[in-house]
Amino acid sequence: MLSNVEKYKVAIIGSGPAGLSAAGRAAELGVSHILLEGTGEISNTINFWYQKGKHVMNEPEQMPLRSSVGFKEGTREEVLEEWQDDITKLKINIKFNATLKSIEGDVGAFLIKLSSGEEIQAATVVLAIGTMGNIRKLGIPGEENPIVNYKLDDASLIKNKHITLIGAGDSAIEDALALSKQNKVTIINRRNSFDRAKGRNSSAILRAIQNQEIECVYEGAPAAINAGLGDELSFAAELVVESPVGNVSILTDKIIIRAGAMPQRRLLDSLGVGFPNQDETAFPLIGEGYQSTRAGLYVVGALAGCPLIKEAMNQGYEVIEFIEGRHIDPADQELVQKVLSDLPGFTSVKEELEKIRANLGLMSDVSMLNLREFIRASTIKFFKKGDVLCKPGDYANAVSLVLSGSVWLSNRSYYDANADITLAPDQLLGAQSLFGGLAWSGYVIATEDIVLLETPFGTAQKILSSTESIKEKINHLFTRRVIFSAVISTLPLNEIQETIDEMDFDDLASSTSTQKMKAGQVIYEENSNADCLYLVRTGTVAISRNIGGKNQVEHLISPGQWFGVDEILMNSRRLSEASTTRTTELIKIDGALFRATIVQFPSIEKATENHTRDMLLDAHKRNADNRSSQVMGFFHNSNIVDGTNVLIIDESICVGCDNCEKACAETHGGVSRLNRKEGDSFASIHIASACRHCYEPGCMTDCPPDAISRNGDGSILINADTCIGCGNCVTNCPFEVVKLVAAEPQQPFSLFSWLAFGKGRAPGQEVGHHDPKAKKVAVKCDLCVNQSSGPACVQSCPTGAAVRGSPINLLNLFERRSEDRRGS
Amino acid sequence: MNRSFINKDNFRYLKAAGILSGLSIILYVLHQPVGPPSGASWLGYTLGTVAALIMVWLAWFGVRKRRYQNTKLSLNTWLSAHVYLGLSLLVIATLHCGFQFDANVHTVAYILMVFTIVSGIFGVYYYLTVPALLVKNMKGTNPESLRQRLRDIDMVALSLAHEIDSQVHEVILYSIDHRYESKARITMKDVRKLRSVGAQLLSIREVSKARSSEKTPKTFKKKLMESALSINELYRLELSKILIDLSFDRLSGDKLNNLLDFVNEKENCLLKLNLDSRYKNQLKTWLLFHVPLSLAAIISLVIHIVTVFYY
Ligand SMILES: Cc1cc2nc3c(=O)[nH]c(=O)nc-3n(C[C@H](O)[C@H](O)[C@H](O)COP(=O)(O)OP(=O)(O)OC[C@H]3O[C@@H](n4cnc5c(N)ncnc54)[C@H](O)[C@@H]3O)c2cc1C
Ligand code: HEM
Ligand code: SF4
Ligand code: SF4
Ligand code: SF4
Repeated sequence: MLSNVEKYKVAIIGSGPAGLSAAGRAAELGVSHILLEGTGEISNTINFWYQKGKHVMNEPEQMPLRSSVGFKEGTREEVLEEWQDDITKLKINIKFNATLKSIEGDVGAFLIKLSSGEEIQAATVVLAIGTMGNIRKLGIPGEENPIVNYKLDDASLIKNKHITLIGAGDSAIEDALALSKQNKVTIINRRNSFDRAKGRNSSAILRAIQNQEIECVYEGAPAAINAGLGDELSFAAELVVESPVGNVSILTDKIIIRAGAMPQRRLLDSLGVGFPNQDETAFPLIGEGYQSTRAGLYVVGALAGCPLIKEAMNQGYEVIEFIEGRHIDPADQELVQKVLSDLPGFTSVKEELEKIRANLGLMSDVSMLNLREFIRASTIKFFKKGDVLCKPGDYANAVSLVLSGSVWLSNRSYYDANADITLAPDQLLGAQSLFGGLAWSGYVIATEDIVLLETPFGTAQKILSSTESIKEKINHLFTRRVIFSAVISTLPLNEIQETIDEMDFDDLASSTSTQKMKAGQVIYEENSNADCLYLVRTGTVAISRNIGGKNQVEHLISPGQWFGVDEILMNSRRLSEASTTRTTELIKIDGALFRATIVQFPSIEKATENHTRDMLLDAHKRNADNRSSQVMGFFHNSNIVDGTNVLIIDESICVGCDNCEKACAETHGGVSRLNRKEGDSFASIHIASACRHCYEPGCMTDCPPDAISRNGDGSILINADTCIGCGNCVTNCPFEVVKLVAAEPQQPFSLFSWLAFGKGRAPGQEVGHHDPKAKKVAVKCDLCVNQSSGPACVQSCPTGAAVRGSPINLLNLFERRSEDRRGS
Repeated sequence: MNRSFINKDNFRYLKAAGILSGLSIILYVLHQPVGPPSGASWLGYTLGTVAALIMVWLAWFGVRKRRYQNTKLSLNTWLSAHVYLGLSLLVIATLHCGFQFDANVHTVAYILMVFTIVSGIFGVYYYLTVPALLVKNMKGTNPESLRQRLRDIDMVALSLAHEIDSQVHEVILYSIDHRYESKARITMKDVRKLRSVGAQLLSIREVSKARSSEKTPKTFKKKLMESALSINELYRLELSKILIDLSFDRLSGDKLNNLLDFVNEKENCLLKLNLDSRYKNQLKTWLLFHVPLSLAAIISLVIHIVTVFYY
């Protein structure tokens, strides 16, 4: 029965850089192989998802390329052409339109089944299917018609046509709006609302539909595409859509299907590839030689958690070497060695890595692959006894693992062995910034000479959270630290009379539970029973009270702060309501246990009670002042509280001179990173559209080269040198403040010649023209890190209307100003 | 009220300018020059030098405003100092010349300086009052969404009008073509156009525009004032006339009422936008005087100094 099944030693699924490189190596070595590609062209991610003419970057720079297939920095087209040539040269056996459906059998004799029904037999399988998923098709008759597209390259090139869009997500809406300027557009929405899209997009499309600029078929299910007559005068095709009002026939010139992509996770689960957790974004568990948990099934490339082309290609090469039984050093050997060779008494990479795994409890469960990536991104640092590593208020932009020696967390800026408050030596420093976006609350001081391994956030987060056991350990450390910090922050440290240690809170930390909540959910209601208190881990919580029938916000609780503690201390029912303002993670602490712990420290207990009283008084004062409570409500609703540093314009004194934008453009290569007019306002408070340097930056969540980091002062920065211009951050920033711009040198400008002769660029004038092929990188506000005097927008505002700062400081500033005004 | 550059650093620059002016006055009173007080005495020279230095420094503000890199003091601080030191010139320069005015270059320089200062005072007045008016006028909305709303109203009103009657449709269409933003004044040609039944609607629009812009020919304004009717009342009146003329059925009547609501809303949007751009212009136009005047003042200052030393 299997007589007509083709047999190979290796089957490689997916012809992205990883798969292509694997197939290239196999072909070079003469290993019998087949490369199966689901689409009709090689490298769908690059072919389909990259914009035409995109400049493909070759990161990380120091990493050598190890592949039988070539790769150089260049345009998308050049890269693809080179690969196409190499396929011919190396005689790679590639099969297109071969989508993997399932794999049966075992190593040595896998039976690969394709969607087409075809079957292929292979001894080993390399999965290189990337993470972009498969474009969702409709699967209706006539879909293969060439007028059907799954993306839109340039809306401005299409004129006077009737275009039909299918889908209701952001990309469908953005295409529809762009096309409707010069075309008649119909959008087919499977449901009856657009609320899956971003707020701005959904209101724009609704407006366009109301204004009849775009036509919409709600609850429409496309059923068939019939070819048109094909002459000049008639439409290219007819789209039949089933809808509640019966079948609708749409005559159209072009159909764009924007139905999203199918995530790979389901397929992988069905293939028996193991994952560390249920997280949609988790990467498969990978062992020695890129082998997955299913023997004989290998995983490489983006799917293996390696986000860049060059690394993907290296892995493709290496996996074939492993399959062929050669245990070569990974391509990053030199890079890892460079980091580790700084260690005192360095022996060999292998030994040092094993030592790290053996000695550091935290790292014991991390896979070698992940550990290498972790080390590669890290640096070894040395500190002498008594050195101060961190100060209160500093933000960590990296986590540090203590490799040898110990550190003390203290309230003092000098190391004193007899200090009354000292902390246990810790293995991981900076977790509070890593997970909660919190600044340091105390000093970190070396108690003896120490060696640290410092790792940037992105890498650390990815690797530490991919292993469940580490996640738990860090969670515990983090909870204990946050409880401890919250407790001691109630009193100036030198006024604490008891000896207090972080370990005193170990039991309390173990008894906590975490609670994840969506935005706008009520945590507890006013007057309900109080048996616990909460610490905000991430997110923000609003504390409000019902006053005169209206819910008025009294406090906003940021990460690292607690709430609901008043009632526990006073043994009362809830005095107010608590609700989330954005996606929030809470640590729930048992009230009785908390009280039992805190009574051990009378001075702190007293301080906490005083603190509670102050809070209540403060709330009382705010209630007396309705406006400030409204302002607070606005801060809450507009998510200002998400930011560590927000740009606000006081419209009651802004004269609209635009000097702020000019200053920004002038200090940032001719492109302003703020938009004065855009953004929400309340009364005269206007949140200009500019980066807010969030506690939990959305932009940072999916940056392939890890180019976005948090600076020591809390600001979020994009590294223009390593950014590959993929645009993920542009999509992931909820405030839409990141743009992709060509990194073109700023034209020189002379104030004199502009003033005297009107020649040259005006100060602050934005650079207009861009070369479409130029390398584009992501840019946004960087808080003017290079300006000694701080943000240029603020410095250049003649009236002092533009201010930047933490939400709480701004809130206070505005209250002071409005009091001033009333006083005058 | 905006107090940011007024009370910057707790009125530091007001105090500085006050001390400087006070000192000048005291010296001037105590000083017993040979002959009448003038720029030629030692005090005259001193005050003159100080005044000239302040002038040049004031003019330097234009340059500082456009230097964005690594500035030590914020522009806000600079402006505060600019305003108070600029005002102190009135005292210092006047004492410098010892109240000797004549028809010569020196007095021309003095007058230009005074004009610059006066224009500056206007500027301060606008800077202090207009932003709050802008906010008040916009109250919860912004020009961009108003413009968006206008476009929306136009679309809806047009289709409503289409359902009612072709004449009404034409009126609405015409009113869209003649959107206020063209900034054009009403010409006689327009007036003649306003005669058809439907166009009466438009005439009221133009009249109401006249009322808000105040730049339009006096006759319109007068007519409007005499009519003593509010804009909305005029609308209702005119449209009900059309209604009677065309003896509409009830359904169209309802639609027309509906349309009227949109037209009213549009009118309000337009008024707000007009006011908005008027305020914004106020914030800018004074600078068109201040900057050239300051340039002229500096040039005449140079001439003044050269002539003094030449002769
Ligand atoms: C917009 C954008 C810009 C980027 N820019 C850069 C850059 O400048 N430089 C850089 O180094 N990196 C860049 N990246 C990242 C880079 O593209 C990826 O890391 C890389 O493509 C990963 O390669 P891969 O082979 O693992 O997977 P992919 O390139 O995603 O390839 C997977 C292949 O598998 C196929 N496939 C999927 N499922 C199946 C199936 N079931 N059966 C058969 N075939 C299947 C797909 O069609 C596709 O061809 C960018 C990413 C994006 C999204
Ligand atoms: C002779 C005296 C003065 C000179 C030479 C002078 C010169 C200038 C110049 C060159 C500018 C820059 C304008 C621009 O480039 O946009 C300016 C701005 C300004 N001046 Fe003066 N000025 C003088 C006196 C004053 C006085 C007395 C006042 C106020 C009472 C004043 C108020 C202002 C204000 C409010 C600005 C606008 C600031 C801004 O928007 O950036 N000036 N002046
Ligand atoms: S770019 Fe967006 S998500 Fe990132 S820090 Fe700034 S505002 Fe937050
Ligand atoms: S900074 Fe933004 S555009 Fe640049 S690589 Fe990271 S996610 Fe992509
Ligand atoms: S510089 Fe200040 S006054 Fe000028 S537009 Fe910006 S915020 Fe308004």
